[in-house]
Amino acid sequence: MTNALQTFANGITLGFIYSLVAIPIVLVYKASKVFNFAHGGIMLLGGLILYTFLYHLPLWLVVPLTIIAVGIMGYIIQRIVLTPLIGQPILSLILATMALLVLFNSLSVAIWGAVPCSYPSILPMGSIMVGPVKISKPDIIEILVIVAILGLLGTFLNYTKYGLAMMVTSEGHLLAQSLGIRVKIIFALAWIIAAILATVGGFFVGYKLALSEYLPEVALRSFAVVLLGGLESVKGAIIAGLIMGNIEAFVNFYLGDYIPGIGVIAPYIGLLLIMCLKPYGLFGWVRIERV
Amino acid sequence: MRPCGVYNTSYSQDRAVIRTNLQWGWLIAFFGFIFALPLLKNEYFLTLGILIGINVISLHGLNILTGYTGQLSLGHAAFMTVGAFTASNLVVEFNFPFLLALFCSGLVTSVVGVLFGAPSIRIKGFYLVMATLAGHYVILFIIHRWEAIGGFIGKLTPTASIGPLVVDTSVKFYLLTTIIAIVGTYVALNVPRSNLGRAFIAVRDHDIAAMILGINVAYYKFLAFGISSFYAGVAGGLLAFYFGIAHTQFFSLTQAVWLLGMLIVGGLGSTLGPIFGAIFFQLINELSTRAGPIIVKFLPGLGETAASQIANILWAIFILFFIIKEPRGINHMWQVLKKLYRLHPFSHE
Repeated sequence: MTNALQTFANGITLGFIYSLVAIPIVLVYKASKVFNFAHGGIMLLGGLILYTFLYHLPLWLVVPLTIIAVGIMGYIIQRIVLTPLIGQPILSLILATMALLVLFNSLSVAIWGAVPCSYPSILPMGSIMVGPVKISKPDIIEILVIVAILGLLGTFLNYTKYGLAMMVTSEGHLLAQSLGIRVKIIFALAWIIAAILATVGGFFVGYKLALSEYLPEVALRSFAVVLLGGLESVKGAIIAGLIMGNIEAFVNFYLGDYIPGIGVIAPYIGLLLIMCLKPYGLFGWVRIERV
Repeated sequence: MRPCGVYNTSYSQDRAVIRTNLQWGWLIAFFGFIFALPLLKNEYFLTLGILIGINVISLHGLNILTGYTGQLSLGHAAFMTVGAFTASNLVVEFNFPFLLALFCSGLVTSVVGVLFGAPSIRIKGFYLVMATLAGHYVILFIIHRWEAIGGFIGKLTPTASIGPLVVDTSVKFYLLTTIIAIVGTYVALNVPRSNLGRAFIAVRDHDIAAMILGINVAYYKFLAFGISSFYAGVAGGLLAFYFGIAHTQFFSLTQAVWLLGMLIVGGLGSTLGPIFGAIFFQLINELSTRAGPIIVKFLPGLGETAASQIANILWAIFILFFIIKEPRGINHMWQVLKKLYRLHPFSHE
């Protein structure tokens, strides 16, 4: 029982990470109808930029500089690659972001080397007991940060001018333009926010494991989360993240001894099942195609 | 397109693939070139030729699926893995003759392809990409863990032999690959010219309209996955025998993305596209292998491993360039060039 509870707690922490990785993908998809396959690459590159800054700059300067650097990166991606592709067939968009993913992975390996990089231990060590369940302190900080980000993001999307404009843009680009919203600025904004959130995700995943070329695989697995939650729903991404984290943790707990590595593949099996049974996810918009 | 004022006067002329004497000349010159390549006795050119040939076979399959039927698939590299492991296991464990094993690996891969392509009945476009992406990882995981067929260690393959003929030198392997690639190209050339190919194109252009025309959309989607995976299986089997081992490492997700990229760069939905794409990919690869160390020398900040990444970086940039600037690929550029040449002093037809 205790073990099951512990597994549940692990699943929740993992689920929060998946949510954090999934939310920027949903955000970009909502704003610009581009599914960002390159998200894992941006996570890795952003995480490595943060890593370099952490070792070479004082701590108070690191956060603003990283945000600026990564934001510029997000803007450049949007400006150079995705703006010319507006209105192109879906294959072009998918392949372009896929090529970006490989490009970022290769750039990271080329610049920072193939050796996994680990962050300096800036978060408190140790763990605390909640009842019978042990949770490590970095995990608690991670959950708090993610909840804070969600709160900020919710406020931004629902109460600010640009956030509301972004929501309108996700309804339809022509509609947004007819209301006087500059869609290009909204696209750029979505990519900048996504790149910053990706870096936060890269930091937490990298802090737990290490920054290596395997980090983007976490983003690939979180595609299952995005699709389970529904492509257009931030709420869905959070709930689906928690579900998928628990599925992975429990599959690992019960089957991990018999088939090593099955936990890692569980999201993909889940993805296949979602695609066959409910392709629009839990909270996604069911699109009716008319001839 | 025929030039202005030239008309077909018989059905055989209308159906012909090769229409003019000049085209016959080009074709014979091309065949002469690829079959004369071994005479140079240059191992390097032969290696290039073999890799290009294998990629051409694999790409023809992907072209039928993605280019003609419009079903996007990221599972092609995984299907090649299935082919590689089937071929090597059939030859090693069951003593199949090489060519039969290659054919059977195509069939087995077809079954796997249809199985993992099954979601295409319900979903399309982006969702199908996700399903095949998941399929890629599931297939690779199963092969990785299945120790009886080689698992993560891989499966060593013996030297291929066709009857009494042992394919032990790269010249022989080159000729084998080239002949299979030519047969594959011939079939791929005729698929879109048949009613089968027209059904595929109808499914791609508008599946509901195709259904109204009486085309069984699900059946043709399955068929496209089957044919495409057959090509992938044969290409994977050849690759396993060329490298002497079937290993999951050759077939990463990057490989699947690169296959789609080669198709886009070459030209989607044309028979020449896969050939152009495969050649161009190999050229970029060789260029970066040569230029990589020099670039690294001039950029001293880069790490030791940078040189190995130059190929990926260059190729990714090329794919992005082609998607943004010329999404119809090299094939379209070639057609434009041909037209310019034919109409030379005049600018319009």
